[in-house]
Amino acid sequence: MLISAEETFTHLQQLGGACLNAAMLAALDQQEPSPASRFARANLLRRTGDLAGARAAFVEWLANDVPASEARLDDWSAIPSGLFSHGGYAIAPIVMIDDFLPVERMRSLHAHACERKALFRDALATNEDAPPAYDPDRRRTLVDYHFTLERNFFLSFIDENLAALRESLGLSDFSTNRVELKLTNHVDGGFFKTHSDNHAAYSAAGRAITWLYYFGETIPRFGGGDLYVFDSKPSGQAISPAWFTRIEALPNRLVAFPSWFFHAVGPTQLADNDFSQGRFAVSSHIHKTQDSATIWWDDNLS
Amino acid sequence: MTQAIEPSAIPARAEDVLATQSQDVAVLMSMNTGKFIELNETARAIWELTDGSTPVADVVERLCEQFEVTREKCTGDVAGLYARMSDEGLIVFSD
Repeated sequence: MLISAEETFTHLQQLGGACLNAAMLAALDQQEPSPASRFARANLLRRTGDLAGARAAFVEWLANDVPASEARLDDWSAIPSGLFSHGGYAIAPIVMIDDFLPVERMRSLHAHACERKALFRDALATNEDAPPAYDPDRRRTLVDYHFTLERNFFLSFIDENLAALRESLGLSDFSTNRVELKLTNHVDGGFFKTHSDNHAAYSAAGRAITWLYYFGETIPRFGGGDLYVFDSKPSGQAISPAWFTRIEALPNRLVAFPSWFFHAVGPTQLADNDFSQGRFAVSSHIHKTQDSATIWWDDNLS
Repeated sequence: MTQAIEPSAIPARAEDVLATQSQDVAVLMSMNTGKFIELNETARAIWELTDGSTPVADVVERLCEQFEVTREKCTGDVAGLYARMSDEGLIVFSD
């Protein structure tokens, strides 16, 4: 792993540490409630990975302090769209659905992925303008592009729910031209350094929604592997130095966010490095066609 | 950007700072920037003297009385810490 990536993950662990953030939340409790303290509570909670707590805190903040806000928070929203943290960084809206599939279907998908072990390959990584290449300093992910079980279900789900996903993520109406869909697995030492899935302007054709469905043993044996989605300035290719949302890769959890936001996958620890016990996900990108639409995070460019 | 700190400048705690103790370490965090800063014993003493009415020169004076340290070293430490705190949005200065 690149030293810069190691430093990033150490930094993220410190900032997202449960102990320190719990102490800060306790310090917040000692203060007179204010708009700043309510917003800080939501930010601290999402940084530790308590998305239910963060959602409740955002609801309270929006209701009390910014009732006229256009920020959206529907049933699928873990983090609402249309918000900015300090420095003008857009907070990545997050859709999160737990218990997404009946457990038996999740188990069948897990068995299917394990049967296809020999078909998984090392994922490639891109670096600047160089063509994609295997680069274990930047990414250690195993991928299988041709799984079959539940493939049609996932494609149908996207087709039927794209409008709702777009709405939750604060994205304008767009036409889809294709959907990438693959299985991924992170075994011991797996990680993916900070990157975004789309560097282009919102109006350009390209990846628009990144979504992941985590699956595997009901009680995972791996450690780590958290997804970090950074508060970002997508158009300026900039990342907040301290604010992000941490998402635990819990089995049977679906997560989605706009592909323009920077994100990273923390290192996975797996004691016996058993492929079947890795951090599995269905990983997908929904592509949009070129249009002339604008996007809310560009309204706050500074 | 870090700027030279005048002895007459008066540092005050920023309104959005949270201070707490975690695992025997004092920690400050700006609610806005989200950044933490850990304080050792000396830094903690400086923080406690940062009350919005004590000039930097007086902070140095009182630390020299409290700790066995040369004025030159103390001045450098105080300036360095205040510069970092200012950069992190944890204090503001008035003259």
